[in-house]
Amino acid sequence: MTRWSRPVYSLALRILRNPELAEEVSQDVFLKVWKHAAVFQEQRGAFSSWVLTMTHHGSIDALRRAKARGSQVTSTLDNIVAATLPSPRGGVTPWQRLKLEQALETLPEKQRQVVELAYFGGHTREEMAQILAEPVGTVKTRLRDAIQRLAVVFQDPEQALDEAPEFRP
Amino acid sequence: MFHWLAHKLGLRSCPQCETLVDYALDGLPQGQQDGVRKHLDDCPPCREQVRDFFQVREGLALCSKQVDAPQDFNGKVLARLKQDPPPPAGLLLPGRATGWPRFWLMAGPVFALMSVMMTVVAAAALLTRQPAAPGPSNPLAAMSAAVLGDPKASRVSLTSALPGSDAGADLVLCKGMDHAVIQCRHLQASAPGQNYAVWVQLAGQPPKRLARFVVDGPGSCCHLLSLEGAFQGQGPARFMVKPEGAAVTGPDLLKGSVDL
Repeated sequence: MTRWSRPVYSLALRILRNPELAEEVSQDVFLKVWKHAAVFQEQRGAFSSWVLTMTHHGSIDALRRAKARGSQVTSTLDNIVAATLPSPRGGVTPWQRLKLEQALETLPEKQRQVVELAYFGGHTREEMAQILAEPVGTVKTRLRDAIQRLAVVFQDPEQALDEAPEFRP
Repeated sequence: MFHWLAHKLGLRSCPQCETLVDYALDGLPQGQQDGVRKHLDDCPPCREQVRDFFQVREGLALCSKQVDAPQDFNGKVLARLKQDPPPPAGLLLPGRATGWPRFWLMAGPVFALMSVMMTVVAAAALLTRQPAAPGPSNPLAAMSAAVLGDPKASRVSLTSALPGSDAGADLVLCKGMDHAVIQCRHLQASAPGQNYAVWVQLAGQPPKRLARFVVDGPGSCCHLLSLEGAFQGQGPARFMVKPEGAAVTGPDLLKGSVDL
């Protein structure tokens, strides 16, 4: 818990922008982890992925409840488990995180904006289209392009290691 | 398979490709999310792409400015855990299990019920089984019983032809049957390779050998004789027991007569 409280709380705070609410959501996440540890399947994904997915879903739920929108993301426990896939790569390494931060900075402003609205804002594509005053199709395409550009960071981990000798085991 | 080929050929015509990013970011309606999830089971290239997108999602979560949780955060979580204890260890519900454990959790009770029913049926069959009809299970005994039980059977009492000997025998035979029964008393045990022979002489006919038998010990013994043909005879008949191999005119060991 000590290891994960910081990233969990940080993500919740980033999404909710409310320390009390973020703390409550973070506590709920650790309670769920404790209660449903038997559900976690290591072969389906890294523990970090499971915990952060739960945090993201919990935060978006809390955000929507706070805004009284009445809709929830698909945050049942089964869906969270299903939302991970077997991956030999494990979780995100510090080097990949650094590269991702760099990739985020180099994204065009409009693409970074849709990533922010979709992931940290929990907005639907229609809501994003309204906020940005753009067609829904344009928003979807922009988001897809942005995520695909960011995904390049994870597509060749060997190359990433070569570029970062300090992370070599 | 089609999706996989399309990806391999670079056609990228897989219709789900367009939705993978939205799927990874939970941006699809529930029904569509489920549809993509099923599609991923059959489409390795899409699955590989979604892995990348999931990693982007996790990376985005870690890219947030890192802030320490409130100081008493761990204590609050532990306090809530104490209020709300976890479910008993080892409790595995069918809804949570996957693969073979799920199969056995679902099918196990059915198998158990079937085994109980089969046990009940087998027990009922055992309890209601009809007892087998009594009767000799040994065919020789059955044949002896048939000879001795025949109302038309002829009984011949054979006595020793040698002076001073108390040997004797009772011979029972039936017309038309190729078996007879002989019960011997105090007849000397046969030497190795030496048998006794039963002879019959009907009126006006030469003596004829009927059967042979062996005596194991000096006491009483009973034999089912296999005759050399179905016994036929009428009128007075004389029966003799001789050592096998003895001449027709040789001495008798036992002799007796009966009127058939």
